[in-house]
Amino acid sequence: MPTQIDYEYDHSLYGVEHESGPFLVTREIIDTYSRSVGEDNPIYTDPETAKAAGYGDQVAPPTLCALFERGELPDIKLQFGRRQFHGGQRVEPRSPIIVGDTLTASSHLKDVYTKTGRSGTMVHVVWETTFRNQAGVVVADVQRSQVVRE
Amino acid sequence: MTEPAKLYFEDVELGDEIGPAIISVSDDQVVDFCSLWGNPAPNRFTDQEQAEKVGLAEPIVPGIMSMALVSRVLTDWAGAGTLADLDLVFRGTIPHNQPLHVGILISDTAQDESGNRVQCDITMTGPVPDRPYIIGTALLNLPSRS
Repeated sequence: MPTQIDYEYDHSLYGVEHESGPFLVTREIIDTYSRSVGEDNPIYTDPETAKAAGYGDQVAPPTLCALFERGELPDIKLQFGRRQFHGGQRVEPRSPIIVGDTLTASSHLKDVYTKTGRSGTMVHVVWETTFRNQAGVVVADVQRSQVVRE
Repeated sequence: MTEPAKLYFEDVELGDEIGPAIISVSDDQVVDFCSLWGNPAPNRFTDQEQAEKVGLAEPIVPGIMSMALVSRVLTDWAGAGTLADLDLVFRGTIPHNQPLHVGILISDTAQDESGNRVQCDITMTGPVPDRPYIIGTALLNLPSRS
């Protein structure tokens, strides 16, 4: 049940899944991601170490799938505010993502709610995305909160 | 051969503070990350002029990149494959090339049939400790010695 707020937006988006992908997780993506965030754990950087630890190949760092969450999501047509920023992010890794995996994403509008503080009213728009690999196994759930302010 | 776990559930107690780990993010790191993310430079994360156009004083670190940095600090401490949940609130814009302090406070521990769970409070701060850039929580599953 969505939270009731005072501002108009497109409620018909609730209950609708938006599919995106496939996203191929290449070694180059994992290496560039790891290098850019200073990740040097050998499970994430060295295929042989990952295999020795029981994985099929090099493992993606646990928040990498959030990269693919940028896929186009519908405009909720919120009748409020002009400025937007990324207010929060949640990642729940469910199963390892291995180099060569092909991920698909299924996203839905989870909630729209307001918070009012010293800087005024902000509307939080929360999208929830489930990532699955080529075998249909859920590898991560991701929530993204976009904040719109006056 | 599997590497031995470097941290066990029994090593952690409620109230333990870990860190702060001090990290920083260079301009080149942000450019690489944005390129991978499908948001190539110049943009508000990499370019002064683009940042000013959207009301920022300077280019900032993307939220999902700062999340990856926090994740790295957690798995550096606890080991790969231990992160079960990372839930962050971005409270301030994060600058490039500045020391970032990532602190971990153990807020709960529990051991049952679902695992050996350690709940943490997370903060990332800059030069002003009481104005965090990021607050949040993490849940880790650690191996047990028993």
